[in-house]
Amino acid sequence: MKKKLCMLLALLLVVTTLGACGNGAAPASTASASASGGNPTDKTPIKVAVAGPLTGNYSEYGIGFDAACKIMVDKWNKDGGINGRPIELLSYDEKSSTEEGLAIAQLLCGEDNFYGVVGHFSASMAVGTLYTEERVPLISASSSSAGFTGQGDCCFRLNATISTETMGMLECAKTAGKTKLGVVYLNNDWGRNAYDNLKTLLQEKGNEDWEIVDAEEIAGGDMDYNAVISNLNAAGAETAIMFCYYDSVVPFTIKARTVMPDLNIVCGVNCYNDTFLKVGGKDVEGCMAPSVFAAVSDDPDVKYFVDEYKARTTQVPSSLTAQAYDAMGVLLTAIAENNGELDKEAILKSIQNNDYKGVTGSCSFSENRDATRNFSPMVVSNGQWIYY
Amino acid sequence: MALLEAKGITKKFGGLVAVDKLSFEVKQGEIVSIIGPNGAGKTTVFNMITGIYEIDEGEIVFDNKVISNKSPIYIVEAGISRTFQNIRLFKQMRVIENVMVGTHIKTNYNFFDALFRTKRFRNEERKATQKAIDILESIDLGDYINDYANNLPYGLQRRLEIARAIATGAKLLILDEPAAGMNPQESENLLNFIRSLQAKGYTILIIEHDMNVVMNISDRIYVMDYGKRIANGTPSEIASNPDVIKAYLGDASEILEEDDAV
Amino acid sequence: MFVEQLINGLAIGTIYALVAVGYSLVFGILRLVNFTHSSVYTLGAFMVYVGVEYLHLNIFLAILFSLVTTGFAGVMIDKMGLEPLRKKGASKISAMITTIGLSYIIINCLNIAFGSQIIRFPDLFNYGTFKLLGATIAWQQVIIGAVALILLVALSIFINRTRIGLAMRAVQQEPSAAAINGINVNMIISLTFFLGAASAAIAGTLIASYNQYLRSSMGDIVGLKAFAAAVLGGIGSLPGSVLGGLIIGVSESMAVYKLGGSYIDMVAFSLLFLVLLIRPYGILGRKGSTKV
Ligand SMILES: Nc1ncnc2c1ncn2[C@@H]1O[C@H](COP(=O)(O)OP(=O)(O)O)[C@@H](O)[C@H]1O
Ligand SMILES: [Mg+2]
Repeated sequence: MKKKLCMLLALLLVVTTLGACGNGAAPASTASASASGGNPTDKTPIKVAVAGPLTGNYSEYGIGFDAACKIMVDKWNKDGGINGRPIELLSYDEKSSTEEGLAIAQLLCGEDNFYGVVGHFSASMAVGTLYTEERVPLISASSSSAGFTGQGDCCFRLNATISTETMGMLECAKTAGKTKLGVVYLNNDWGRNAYDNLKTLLQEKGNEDWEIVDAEEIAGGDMDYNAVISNLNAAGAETAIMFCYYDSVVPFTIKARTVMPDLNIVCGVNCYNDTFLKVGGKDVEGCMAPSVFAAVSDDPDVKYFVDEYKARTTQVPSSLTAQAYDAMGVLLTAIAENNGELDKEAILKSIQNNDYKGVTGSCSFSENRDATRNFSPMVVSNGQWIYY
Repeated sequence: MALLEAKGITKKFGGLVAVDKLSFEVKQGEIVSIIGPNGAGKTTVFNMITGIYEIDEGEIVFDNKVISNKSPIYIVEAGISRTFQNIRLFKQMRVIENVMVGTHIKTNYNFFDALFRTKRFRNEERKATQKAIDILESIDLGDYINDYANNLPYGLQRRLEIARAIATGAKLLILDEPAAGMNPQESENLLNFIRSLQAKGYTILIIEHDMNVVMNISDRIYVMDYGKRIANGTPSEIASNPDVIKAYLGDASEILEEDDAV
Repeated sequence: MFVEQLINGLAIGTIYALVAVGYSLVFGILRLVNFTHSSVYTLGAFMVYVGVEYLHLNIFLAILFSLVTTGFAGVMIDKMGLEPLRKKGASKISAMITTIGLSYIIINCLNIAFGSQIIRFPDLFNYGTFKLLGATIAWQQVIIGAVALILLVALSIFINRTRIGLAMRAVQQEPSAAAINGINVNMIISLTFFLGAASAAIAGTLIASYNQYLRSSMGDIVGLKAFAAAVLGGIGSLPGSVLGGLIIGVSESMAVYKLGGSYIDMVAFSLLFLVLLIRPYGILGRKGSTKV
C-alpha cells in the first residue's frame, strides 16, 4: 500500500516535471519514416526504450547505453524496420536515481505499441517486478546483483553475474602472476556482496591459486586513498582487486603509483571504458580488467559498432555499452521473429531462446535468464584496452 | 563659536519619535551634559552624532563640517569619538591592543613588512606602541598594559574605553553614562578624571544619571524628555527649574543640598 | 606503519585546517556559517586549472590567478549575497540559507562549464618517496603539509601581529565599537571573505595536486570535514581550527589503520559529537559574545 503510494507520488512528480519543463525530460524519439515493404497499411511505429542515467554521477554509463541503442535501432530502421513498421526508440534519463527509474518504468508500462526496455542502472533492482507484472521484457546490460533476474520472468541479464566477473578478475591476477590479493571494495551492497562472493569463490577453489592478504572497505569517490594504500603495502599485496567504480579506481591508482609502483591493479568490467583511460592517463597503464568486448577486435560487426559509436560520441565504446548494443539487438531480433504477431509472451519466449551473436559474443540465456559471458583478460597499454 | 551644533534633529523609529527637533550646542573646551529620564532619547542622540543612525530631519555640524548622515569612519576622522552605555571593549584583546585599535587609522606598513618584520614595520610598530603606552600612562592605566581587557575591574574598563576614544585623536569625547554601575569611590575618581581631560583641552559631551557627577562637572546641562529639549542652563539654573524638577529631578533636592554643603 | 599513517593523517589534516580556518574567519566576524566555503575551495582548484589549460599560464601564475579570482569571488559572495541582507537586517538563518543556495549555484556553474567527471590536474610536487623509521612517505605529503603550515603561520601572524589583523579582531569582538574607532567594517568583512576564499583556493589547489585530479564534487566531503574541524577546535578560533583539522586528519588515518576504510567519514563526526558533549564550544572555543 505504502509502496504503491510512493510510486504514485513519484509518477506524479515526473508528470509535473514533464509538464513544467517542456521537452526537458521528455523521451527523445528516433523514428525513421523510410520504412518500406511488409504490410504497407500499418506504419505505426514499434516502440522500444532505453533507460539509464544521462545525468548525475553515473551519467557516462547511461549516455553509453543511449548511444549504443540508437545505433542499433538506426541500423534496423535503415534496413526497413520490422515488418515495414519503423522502430521508435524512447530514451529516458534515470538521473542516477532509483525513484526516477521507477517513475520511468511506470510511464513506459502505460505506452501503446511498446515491446521492451534495455537498461536501467540505478533502479535495476526496483523495476523488475513492475515490468514482469506488465509483461514487458527488460534486458539489463549492466546489472550484476545476484537477485536481478529473480525479480520475474521478464528480467534478462546480458551481463556477467558477480561470480563470473570476479572469476574473470581472479584470472587477470593469475595471468599477471601476482596472486597475493588486496581487496578494495565499496561500502555499499554491491561492493560488500562482491567481496563476500570472492571469499566464497576462493573457499570453493580451496584457496590454492590466490590468497587474500588484506581487504579494505572504502567510502569511495573523493577520499584520501593514502591510508588505504599504506595498509595494502604493509600487508604485502601484489594485486589490488578493485570492487569499485572508475571514480574510485582512478584516484586510487594515481596514489598507488607513488607508494606501490609494482602493484597490479585489477578492476571490474565497469572500468573498461574511455573515460577511465582518458582521466587515468599514464597512471592507469598496466591496469587490468576482464572484458567480454574488445574494441580493438577486427570482427566486422565490432568494427561497424565501434566506428559508428566513435563517429557519434568521439569515444570508444565501453564493455557495458557494447552489452547494451547487443541487448537491443536481442530485443529487436525477438520482436522481428514473431512476424506481425506482436504477442508479448511470444517475444519473451524468443528472447529466452535466442541464438544471437553480438559484439560481445553469444547472447544466449540460461533458464535463469542470465547470459553466459566469456571474459578475456585485458590490459591498458598505450592508452587503450588490449588483450593481455 | 560652537564646536558641535545640532540643529533641529529628529529620529523616528516607525511611529515613535525618539528625538524630536532637538537643538543644542557644545563649545570648545566645555563639559556639557544631557540628562533626562530613561527612554528620553539621549543615547539615540549619541548614535545620531556618531553616524550609527541616519537622521530624519535637521543637521549636525562639527568643526564647521556637516557630519550628519556620514559614516562612522568619517565622523571619527573628523574628531569625535565615544564610549557606550554598556561597555563595548574588545574584551579578548590586551589593554594596549584596545588602545591601538583607536590609533588604527594612521599606519604605514604592509603585510610583507609585518610578515618579515622589516625595519619599517618595527619603527611604525614602536611608534604606535609608544603612543598607546603614553595614553595609558597619562590616564593611570600604565600598570595594566598587558592585561586582557576582560580582566580589568569595572571602573578601569570604563576608563579604558575612554582611553581608546582618546587614541583616535578625537577633540570631542562623548561619554554615555560613564558612571553607570560605579560605587561612590569609583565615580569620584571618574569625576576627577573627566575634569583632568577637560584640563588637557578635550571637549566633552556626557550623558549621566549620577547627579553628583552631573552637577559637579557640567558647565552646561540640557534636559530632554520624550525626545524634546525641555530646559538648558548651568547646573544651578537647571536645579532650580521647576519644569525640570517636575519632569525629572523629583528626588534631586537632597543632592543639591549636599552640593551646597561642599 | 603507525608512522606512515600518522604522516598520512597530518598531511590531510593540514588541508582540513586550511579550509577550517576559512569557516572560522567568516564565522568570527559575521557569526555566520558560510556554506559557500566548500564550493569556493572547489572553484579555487578549477581556477588554477583554467589558468593552466585555457590561459596557458605557468603553474605559479595560474595559482596567483586563482588566488585573485577566487578571493574576489569570495568578496562578491558577501557583497552581492550577504551585505544586502545585513543592510535589511535579515535573520542569520536567511543569510545561512543564502550561502547554501550560492554554493549550489557555484557548483552548478562548474558542472555546466566543465562537466562532473574527473579532470586530471598537474602534479606539482611529485618527488617520489623516502623512508623514515621504516615508513614509506611521499614527498608530496611533506610538501603539502609544509605549504599549508607556512600559510597558517603567515595567516596567524597577519591576524595577531598587524594592524589590519588587529582591526579584524576588533570587528570580530565588537563591530559597532570598531566602526566608531575608525575601522571600515565593510572593508574588513570583504577582506575576511577574501582571505577565507584565498586560503580555500590554496587548499583546493593543494588537494587537486595531491590527488592529481579535480572535479566539481571534490569540496563536498572536505568541506564538511573542515567544518567539523572548525567546530571541533572551537569555531572562531584560528588555533582551534588548526588543531581540529589535524585531529580529524590523524584520527581518520588511524581509523583506516585500525578499523578499516569505511569508517573514514564516520570518525570526524563521531569525534565532533563527543567533544561537543564535553566542551560545547569546541576545544579552544570560548563562549563568545554573540552581540551584533
Ligand atoms: N534601534 C531602535 N529601534 C526602535 N526603537 C528604538 C531604538 N533605539 C531606541 N529606541 C527607542 O527610542 C527611545 C529612546 O531610547 P534611548 O535613546 O535609548 O533613550 P535613553 O538613552 O534616553 O534612555 C526609547 O523609547 C527606545 O525604546
Ligand atoms: Mg541611554
